[in-house]
Amino acid sequence: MEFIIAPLRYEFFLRGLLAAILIGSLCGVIGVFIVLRGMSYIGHGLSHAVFGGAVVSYLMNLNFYIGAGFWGFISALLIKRITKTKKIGADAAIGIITTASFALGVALISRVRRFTRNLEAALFGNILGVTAEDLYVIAAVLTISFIAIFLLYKELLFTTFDKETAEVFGVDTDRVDTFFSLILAAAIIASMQVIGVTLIAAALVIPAITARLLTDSFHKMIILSLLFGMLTAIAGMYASYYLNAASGATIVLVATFLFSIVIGVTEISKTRKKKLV
Amino acid sequence: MKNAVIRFSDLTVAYNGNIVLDGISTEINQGEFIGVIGPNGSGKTTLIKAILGLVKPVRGSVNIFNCSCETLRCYHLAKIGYLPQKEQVDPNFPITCIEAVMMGRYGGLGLFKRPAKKDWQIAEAMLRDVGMYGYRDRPLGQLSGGEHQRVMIARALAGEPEVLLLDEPTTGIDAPTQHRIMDLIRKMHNDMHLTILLITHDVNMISPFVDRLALLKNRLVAMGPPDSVLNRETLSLVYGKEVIVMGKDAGSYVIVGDHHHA
Repeated sequence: MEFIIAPLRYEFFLRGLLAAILIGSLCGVIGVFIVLRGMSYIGHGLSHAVFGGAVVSYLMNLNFYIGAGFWGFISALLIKRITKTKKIGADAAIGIITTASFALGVALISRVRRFTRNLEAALFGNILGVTAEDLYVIAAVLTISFIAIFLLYKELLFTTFDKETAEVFGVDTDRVDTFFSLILAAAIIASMQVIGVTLIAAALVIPAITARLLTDSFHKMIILSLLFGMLTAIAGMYASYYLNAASGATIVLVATFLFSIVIGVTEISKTRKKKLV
Repeated sequence: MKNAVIRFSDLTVAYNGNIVLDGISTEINQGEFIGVIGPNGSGKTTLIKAILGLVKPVRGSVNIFNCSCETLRCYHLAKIGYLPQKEQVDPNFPITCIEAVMMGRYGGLGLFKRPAKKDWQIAEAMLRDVGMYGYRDRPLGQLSGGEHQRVMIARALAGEPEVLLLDEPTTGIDAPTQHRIMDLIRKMHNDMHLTILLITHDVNMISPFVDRLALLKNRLVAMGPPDSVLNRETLSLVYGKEVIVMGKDAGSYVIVGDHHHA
């Protein structure tokens, strides 16, 4: 018991743990749509793009969340627009927009020495840096996202499954896509402090694919992914405390460990079944 | 008195400047079963997409329920059932059969509304009609090609449409299953008084089922009862000289040089 309670005596750990749990759940749910729509790379790219926005808003003394949010949303729209030219594929469009944005962030930051510490936090996550304001923002993003996903569940599901037919059946798929980009951008910005830009993609993808291995039902996949996101966040936070390692990286490693076990077990049971037949 | 449900007038559609459909003018009457045939790239799928308002004409127009297809509202779309080509969906998507069929009712439900008991009952009835009720809670990924297609037909019917648009419903499915699916579509056509437009490259498979055949090669080359379309002169306009028509009377068998290898 002491093992679990001891770190909770520190306020920074408690705040970090809370932030990690909320973000684990949020990324778990959103990750299901990301994985099934083949958008893993967008999640990866968008988090890098947001980094540029974060640096610019810092240098201009703007509120981090507003600056990064605006930047992330514009990046998502630009990616969508470039893809429409047809000569450029979505993956290449993401490559251009997000890496350029990331490069801008790095270039600006390299000119300002005093920012190095924050740079590390933004890139790899820093649980010590989670403030009360951050917690409020994360909680707000989570609440709004979950309500929106609940209300638009059937439109999101249909668009994810079969976009063109969804359109034919009267679903406004363009609006669903834009709305989803917004949620994704908000989730990424909210996660930056805890997980770090470079690791967000993993937090989005790993719980979802782990859940996919265990179920063939869409809503069960969402619930499982949420649970995995939450549990690996908790386990990761404790591991990070006792191993004195970076929080974002530890959470990702714990999630990867869980994924390895699940894929090992499911693959073994599959080959066993085949042998019996 | 016949009632035109879909009306094409000089419908012309182009992709990047290449004309895919050229001056199509015809009418499809209520309750008709139309088979659309033609070689690959003849604009068959584009014809359906134009009806659904997914592609815009560069000239002319297409109307359904007396409404321009470019400006269809949910209200109209809810009366159209659509079965896309099979390759369009990921067969391993984590979803059960009943969930997939229920999507066919989403359009009519409207924003924020969840399916009610009645919606589930209709979805279940459709699954029963296509003979897949026993697979209600099976994941889509575990089905064979024919079973998958039956579920997709149930989805197309779940919105209780008046018009059914089917794009290659039997492609890539073994012959006995093809016939069972065609029998099923005929039964739906009779029981529900549906107007059906069915695209296929398989001229022989479709002929016994339809009221009229539309022979397409970017232009509407011929349209009429199967007997009037399936003759050497008409078919060679589209398929070239390598057309063999066997048997003069009812049930002629046609061999054309354009076989789809799906």
